[in-house]
Amino acid sequence: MKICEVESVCKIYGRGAAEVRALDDVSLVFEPGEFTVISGPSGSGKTTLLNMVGCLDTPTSGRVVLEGKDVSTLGERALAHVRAKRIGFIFQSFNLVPVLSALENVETALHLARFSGNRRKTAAEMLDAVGLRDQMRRRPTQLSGGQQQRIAVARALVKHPGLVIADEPTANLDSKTGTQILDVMRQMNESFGVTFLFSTHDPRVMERARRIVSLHDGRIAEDRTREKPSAAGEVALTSDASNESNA
Amino acid sequence: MFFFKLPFLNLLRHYGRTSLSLVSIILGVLVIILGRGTITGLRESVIRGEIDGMTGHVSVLPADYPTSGLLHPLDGLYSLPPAAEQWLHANAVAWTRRLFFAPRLVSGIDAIRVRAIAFDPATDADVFPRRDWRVEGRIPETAGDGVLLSRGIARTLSVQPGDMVVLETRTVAGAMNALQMPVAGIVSTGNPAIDSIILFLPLSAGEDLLRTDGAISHVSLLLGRRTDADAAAQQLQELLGEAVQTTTWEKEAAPGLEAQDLRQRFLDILVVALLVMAAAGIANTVLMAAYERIREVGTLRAMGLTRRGVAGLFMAEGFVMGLIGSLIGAMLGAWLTFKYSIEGIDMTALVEEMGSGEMFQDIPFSSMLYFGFSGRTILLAIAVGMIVATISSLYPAMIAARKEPADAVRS
Repeated sequence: MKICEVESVCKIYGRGAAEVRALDDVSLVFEPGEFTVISGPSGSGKTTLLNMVGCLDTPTSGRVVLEGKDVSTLGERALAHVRAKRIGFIFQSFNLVPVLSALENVETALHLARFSGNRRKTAAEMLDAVGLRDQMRRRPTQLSGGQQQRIAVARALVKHPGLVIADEPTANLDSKTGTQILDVMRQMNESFGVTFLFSTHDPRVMERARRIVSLHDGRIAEDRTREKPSAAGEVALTSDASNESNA
Repeated sequence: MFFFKLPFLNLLRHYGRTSLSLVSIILGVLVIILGRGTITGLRESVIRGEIDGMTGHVSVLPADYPTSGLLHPLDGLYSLPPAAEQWLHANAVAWTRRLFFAPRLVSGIDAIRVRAIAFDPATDADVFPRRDWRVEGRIPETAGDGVLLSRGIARTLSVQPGDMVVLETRTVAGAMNALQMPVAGIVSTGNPAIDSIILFLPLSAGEDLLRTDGAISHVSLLLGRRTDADAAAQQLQELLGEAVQTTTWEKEAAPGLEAQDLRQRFLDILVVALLVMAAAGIANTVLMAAYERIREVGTLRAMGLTRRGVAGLFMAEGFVMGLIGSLIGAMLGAWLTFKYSIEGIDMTALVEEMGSGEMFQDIPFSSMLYFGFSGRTILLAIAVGMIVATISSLYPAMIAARKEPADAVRS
């Protein structure tokens, strides 16, 4: 089963002369376990596309099918339920709750997903997996940017979602830390088979991506898939005809 | 964890701002408890003043007897028939006879008109307790002991225990009569209606002065429960016929209680004003929090929190603030109310300052104010504080919940 299918999606903001087509007839398919980058200049529709796939917004027309279920017509509560159970988010500014400890931040995701097991233990194991075993009790403000983003990664992955959406996850990190975070995410992608969908301009992220979808003016300009991505950026790109049909 | 710990921790982010809102809730709750405690205490003070000082639970007095001013006519005096005495022995916890009249009290060249109460020394204290009385000298037991003057009279005539005074009055038959008696004592009862213009003398001395031949003006009694007063008054009225009238503490205290009801209404207005201020403070605190944490709210929405969940989070902050403020206010209020329900506040100086002689001579009350301690009032105040705090966070909660997660998360 495909993790996500975007079918002829349009998103229009405003009306009449003020109408803006943020997405214009976009169709894409994301397979389980992908590590995909959505790239493009500002205003190209990256964020809008991520909002559609992440169930934060619904399309004006077209369909978004997540794990076989059409989510484009769901109401607010149903969308929230899908996000809670099946989608993890990683943000540029980490977006952690500052009054909660690292452990509690991760536990919050389990709480919202109505995880029935031992939340504390599961959250602690995930923080251990991202290398924060000794910082679990600390609050975000007591940790570095890289450590905070590791918490965000743990928070996104702890509920074992089908899809993780990462919006410029390395933009607020220095080069070394950004690379470490990407390695953590790549490792999690391989370990858990979770699909990662990035919005980024960071070449380091692109180097690690198996697939790069470029957007321009709300349309797909290019959809490239690598045979074998590498940290050094050695790429062998092939064109995916099915995904380029809208380019 | 989430819905209890997070709102609590959020309130600690800006504890200065939170503290200010808490103070307004604490004040609101405190005013409810102390205010109601005071009003209840004042009501009880009026009731106790009436029962303990003038009426007992029920009084029997001549028909059409005036109930205000210094008017104590002698033409309706009566004697209790045996059947009535029998009823009193069977139904009253205690009962006593009194003879009211209005003589001229002369000391040297000074004379004033006073209210005299001739009492039965054997039974009077059973109906009219003297626990708050402060007596300089002693309470007369026999006709030869003399009179007990209230502090107001003693001050006006500048007399001391042991001084001689003359009581001048007309007898039941209309003849002038006078009796020279020593001042046995001077009493402060704490009840301004007594302390202003009343003197006490033994019933035998009163009968001798007025030539009543055993007739009296008042019979007062105490029942097991004061709420039985109406029924007892009705039974006595039926037994004694139309020559007399019965009255109850409730009827006599009504004018004084009306004043307390007015105070209660003023208090209610004050409480509402305070609670509106508290609500505005809380709404402001939560609204600022909502605007400051838009991105955080967006993140939680992205993680699956519903609009209702977001609204619940912010309302929970109001609720927690209300809970903490109400509990602190309730504890303070309960402590103060309990303390003053036991110790009381002596309002004698205040009453004197206000001119007790003129203002309160017809409204008996105890000048020792004991606050009314009521668990129900405390629970009510806590509930009001919490409800006001929770409801006032509704608007900010709706503002936060309305924000779209896609916008909020990147704001």
